[in-house]
Amino acid sequence: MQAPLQIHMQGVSLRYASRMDTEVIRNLDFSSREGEFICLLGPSGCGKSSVLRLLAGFQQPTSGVVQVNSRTVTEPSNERAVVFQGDDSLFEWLSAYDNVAFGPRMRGLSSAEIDPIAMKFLRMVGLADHAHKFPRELSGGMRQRIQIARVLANNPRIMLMDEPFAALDAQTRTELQDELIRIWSADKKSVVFITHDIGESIVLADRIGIMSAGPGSRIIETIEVDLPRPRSRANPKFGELYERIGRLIHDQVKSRARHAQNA
Amino acid sequence: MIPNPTSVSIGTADPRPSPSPRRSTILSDHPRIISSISVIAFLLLWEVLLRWVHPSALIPPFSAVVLKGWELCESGELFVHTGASLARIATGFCIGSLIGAPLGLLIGASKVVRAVFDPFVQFFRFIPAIAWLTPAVIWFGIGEQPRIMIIVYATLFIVAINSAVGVSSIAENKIWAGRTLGATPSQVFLHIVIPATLPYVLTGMRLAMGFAFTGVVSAEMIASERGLGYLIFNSRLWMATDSIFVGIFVLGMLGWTCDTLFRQVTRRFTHQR
Repeated sequence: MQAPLQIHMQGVSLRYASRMDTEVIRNLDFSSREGEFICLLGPSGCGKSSVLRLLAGFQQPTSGVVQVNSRTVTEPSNERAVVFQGDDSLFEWLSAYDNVAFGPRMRGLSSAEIDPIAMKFLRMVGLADHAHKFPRELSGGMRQRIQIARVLANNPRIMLMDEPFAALDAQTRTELQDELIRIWSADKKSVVFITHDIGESIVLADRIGIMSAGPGSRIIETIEVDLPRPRSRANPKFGELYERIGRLIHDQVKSRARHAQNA
Repeated sequence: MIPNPTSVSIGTADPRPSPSPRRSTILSDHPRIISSISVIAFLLLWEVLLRWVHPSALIPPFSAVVLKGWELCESGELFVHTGASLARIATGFCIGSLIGAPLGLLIGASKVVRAVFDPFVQFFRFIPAIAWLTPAVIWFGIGEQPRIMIIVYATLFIVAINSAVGVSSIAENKIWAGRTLGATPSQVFLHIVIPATLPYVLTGMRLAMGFAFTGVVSAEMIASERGLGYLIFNSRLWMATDSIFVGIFVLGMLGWTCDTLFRQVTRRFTHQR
């Protein structure tokens, strides 16, 4: 049975008037279903983050349709949570606990109602013992865990994640990838995960949207990842997929370089 | 103006001895001991130099300043002057901060408010508070009002500018995070913009306190019959250099104490970044 369509982007273009009229995205089509784990993969500077910002409602497209749950996205909403790349989105004057409690508090829940929610998600990301520490007292990996717990506590329908593990060391990154999959498997929230790491996208995604090199990028190919979970990088199929995606990205980077030379 | 709120502290503001990887001696682990020795050495040098080596009518030896200070304490005169100055500083500083902080927050948060106030801020920033003393006396007469106005003026600008800088240096992602967590724009202002700016507001207030001290002395030198500025300025008529030094000494100690108290009280709001 197919889940209903959740993200629907059609003919989307985005142009920044301020940056010499550069078209970041041109004629992008993309859609996903409820509960899917999508990775958007592409060479750096291809406008991956711009797609995420459009979905989050931080920006409006110059033309085209951006709909989530059959509604046009016009502004941010707590249905579409965002996990940011850096930790500058954390509230450094609040403890881990109060960061996680922020969303429920804004909804006007009482402290008695908030407490079980905040503790549940702090426990889920393994920070129950660090609840009263401030972000500056925690490691980079732990800070990204706060971000994840903070959005989960708000029970969003989609999690938009902008290279959330890019700044972490390899060990911590692998740990958090496993944990994210464990959390996602538990309640199958939809995830759109931006990355430039091919391996990461194969470990995580149901489907990978490969983006063309910018400017004027779009999704050139969508690849189903039908490897069984939990996924192992040792699986020969993992290597095959890695090769195939690697070639696609390589061609993109080359064609852009040729393009730049001719221009 | 001051991008980093911790950059104001000069010298050894951090009282905790930091474990250093270098070879350490007893002294280098205790900066306070070094500071005490340096102060005592300075006072001794001052005393020896001006009492025995090169006595001068222009600078009294340290012991004479202490004696004069004691005398002024006993007569109660010193408390009158100190109290008068402190009351003016406190009133002006509080009024200035109460106007400056919200004004700065609004300037930082709203493009319209910024456009309205920016030319005035840019212009008046270069006009020192004492430049207003003469018109203030003409407008308000010789009373407490012109003196307090000067301090309000000096405080207001620094607090407002620092608060505005604080707002504009909030990471954009923090605002977006708030919105995607369900905060309305007014909740974002109340729960994100204000707490994120607080360290900058407090830094502005700390700087402003210094200017409030400068302002009060200038104001008291010209139009006053009480206050530390009056004590310093008036004593020159009798060449009472010991009284002048008592005034200067009390001023310095008072400023230092106020700053330390302010830092202690506001510590929990600033040490989080």
